[in-house]
Amino acid sequence: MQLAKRRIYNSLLSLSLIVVLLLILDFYGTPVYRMQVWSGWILLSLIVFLLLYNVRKKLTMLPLGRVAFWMQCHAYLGLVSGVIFLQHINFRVPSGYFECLLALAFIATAATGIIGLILSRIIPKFLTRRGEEVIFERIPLHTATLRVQAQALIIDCAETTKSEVLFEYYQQHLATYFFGPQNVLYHLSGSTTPWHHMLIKHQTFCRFLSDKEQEYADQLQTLMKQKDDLDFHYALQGMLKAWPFLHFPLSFVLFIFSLLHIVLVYAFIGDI
Amino acid sequence: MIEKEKWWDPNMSSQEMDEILSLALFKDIDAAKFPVQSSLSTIIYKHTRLLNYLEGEVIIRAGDYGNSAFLIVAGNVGVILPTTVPQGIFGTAVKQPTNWFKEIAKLWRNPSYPEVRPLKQTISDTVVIHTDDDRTRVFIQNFSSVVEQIQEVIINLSAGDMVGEIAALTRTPRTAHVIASSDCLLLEIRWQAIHALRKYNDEFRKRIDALYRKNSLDALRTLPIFSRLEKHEQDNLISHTLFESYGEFDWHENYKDEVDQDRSSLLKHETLIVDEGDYADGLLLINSGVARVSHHYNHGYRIIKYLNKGDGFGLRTIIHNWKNHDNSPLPVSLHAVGYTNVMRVPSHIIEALVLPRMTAEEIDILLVERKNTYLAKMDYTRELRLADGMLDFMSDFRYINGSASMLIDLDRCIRCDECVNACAVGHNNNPRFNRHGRRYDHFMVANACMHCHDPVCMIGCPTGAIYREPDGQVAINDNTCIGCSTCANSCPYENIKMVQVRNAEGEFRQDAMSLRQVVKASKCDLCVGQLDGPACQRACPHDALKRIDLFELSTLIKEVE
Repeated sequence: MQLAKRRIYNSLLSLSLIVVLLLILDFYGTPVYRMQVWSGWILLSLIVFLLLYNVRKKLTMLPLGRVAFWMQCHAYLGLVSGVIFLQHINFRVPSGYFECLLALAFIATAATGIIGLILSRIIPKFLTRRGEEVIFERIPLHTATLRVQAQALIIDCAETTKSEVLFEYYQQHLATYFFGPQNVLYHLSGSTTPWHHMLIKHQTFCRFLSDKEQEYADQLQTLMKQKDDLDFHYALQGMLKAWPFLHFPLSFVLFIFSLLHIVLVYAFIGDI
Repeated sequence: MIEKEKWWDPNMSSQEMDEILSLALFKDIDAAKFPVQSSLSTIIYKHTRLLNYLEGEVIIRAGDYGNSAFLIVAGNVGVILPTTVPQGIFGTAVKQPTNWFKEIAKLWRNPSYPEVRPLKQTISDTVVIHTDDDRTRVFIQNFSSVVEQIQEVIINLSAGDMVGEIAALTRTPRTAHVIASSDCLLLEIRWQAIHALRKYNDEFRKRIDALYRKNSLDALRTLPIFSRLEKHEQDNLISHTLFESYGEFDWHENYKDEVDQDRSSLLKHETLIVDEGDYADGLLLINSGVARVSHHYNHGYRIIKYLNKGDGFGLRTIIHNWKNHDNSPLPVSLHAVGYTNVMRVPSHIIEALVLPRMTAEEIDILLVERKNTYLAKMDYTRELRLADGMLDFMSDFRYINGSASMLIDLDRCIRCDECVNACAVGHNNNPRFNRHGRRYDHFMVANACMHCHDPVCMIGCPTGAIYREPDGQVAINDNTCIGCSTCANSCPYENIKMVQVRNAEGEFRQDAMSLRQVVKASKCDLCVGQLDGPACQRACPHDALKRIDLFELSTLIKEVE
């Protein structure tokens, strides 16, 4: 199925599910407390199912359907759970500290999930269109390789031209740049300002070079660009890898809080 | 002195040469018909070798690919069809059953060291492997008792008989097991020699063509346009069919040398079969290999589509000329991609036997296709909604060879490496591929075994350790792999790596006899023997990774969309 068609199909299916669940709640939901009990249990079931996605990801060796299918279910049922959550809290800010905390846990989990989904749709396109394809864990290795190449270039230049000007320039302006990831926040915000500043500085410096030194400076600029692309991949791939570390713990916190909430509800529900 | 390739019997004596030339196959050949630069003696010297086999030794395994035929000089060999004996008897791998518990247990049972392989005292229950400096020999254990069990299914061959020539010429799997029934002497003849003998010797050509016909008979009969003919008409058609080979048999060697250079250097190895503007003198049927259909575009050829086994070329033009009493030339060209075998059914046979049996509707459909597609010089890539040049990319780099290539849509891939992790879990914590490879637009063909239609890696494995499953997956049997690197060196895409294996304690395993470290070939096996299909594809959360047959354009288009 085409992705656009799939998106429409899944959205319609989710919408239908929301309508059906709301109708059920409306039908069985009098008095109000009964509706909240029903919506609570539905919500817990949905949270458990959403948590199962992570379990499925670990059990890739079992024929339990493709993870991509589970991911679709996870995303769209996440959306459904958001509506049921609003219904459960009766579209009001909950009263009581624990209930507020629980609602915040839900909102935070949902928000990180939505942000993560948006990031995972946007960032890959940027990564594809810039620099070489690199594996995140190997970025330090590539950085070290570029550093070694740059240093070798500088030394070669000094030996060939008997001039230390490029060496000094490297030491002052580029040694730190080639040492590790740089300008992470700029790359995350999509800004190329640091690179342009560096380029202007480099071009200004090049005005004072001999033809031979210029050849080395041009090669150095190529390495600088490669390093900039590497930093870009580090920042964006790092972001893609980092956000689940926010979403997963929050979802477990939400699950634990939900269980506590049920215990408290049934402890104090009384004879109603 | 004629220069001989290093590995190919460098010690052949003049006495052995004389002995070979006196064999029935060669003694009546008119050597004068051979050109000076590739005389009969040169061909024999460069491309043949005498090999002695001991009783019970495996000469050929069914399913293996090879590039040589064997002429029996002395002794006897037995030919056994694979369907008549139990699977695995000749050392081929037998799937071990698995279940949910075994699979889940991988989560904690997988070793923490890389490339840990179970230590086995015997390589197989049925075969034994002897390796010395000369060569590797594979024997059937307890040969005499095995022979007793399968006596009635052995076809015995003796001096003067030849085996394996068609499989060697057409790059198709061997169809039978061949075992030395007694100590025997065989002449191994490489494909270059078979080609030359066929070209310059009428008798040999007739013999090979007769075999071709016999082997191709069923394939031809089942083709839709021939299936409606009477049997005697089919026989007539087959008797007029010509068998031709194009391209380079060892294309993978040039490919590896030139793949990182200019792409045009790869294209120059694509042999032209027929050119746009040529007279359509016959219907060309692809017998094995791949061909590309293209039309002239300025100084190059723009690809329209690929053809592989069973596909035809030229029928529409033949129909047009027959119906309109015209002599229109072919509107498109056909090139061999790698090594391609073609059957040519002459036009007059098609006109006499096939076209009168076709309905007016069938003919009209084909003529409309000719007009709209081929004569209109349609930009197929655009028509198929593929990125510009994508078909050329797939073809130039021979990715169309892959039946299960790993295609990653980088616009959807979040670089989470769940595919690599899933692969590792399924294979003792050792991922069998690199999420890295050549890119075109936002697609990457990753460095994972493509399970090729033309698996050059399977040529020359001395123990048959690399094999093809009935479902098409190419896998390696760890127990019979001797770590010779033949497959890894042959793979044009560098998707097979050699790994040093360890025991459960993490120590590198050593061969008890030679004290060398044990090395095995390692590659993607498409999760053969596991509960579900390829784990990499199953584990991708964003549908970015697909294992697809890049030859099938419909599959490619579906995935690209």
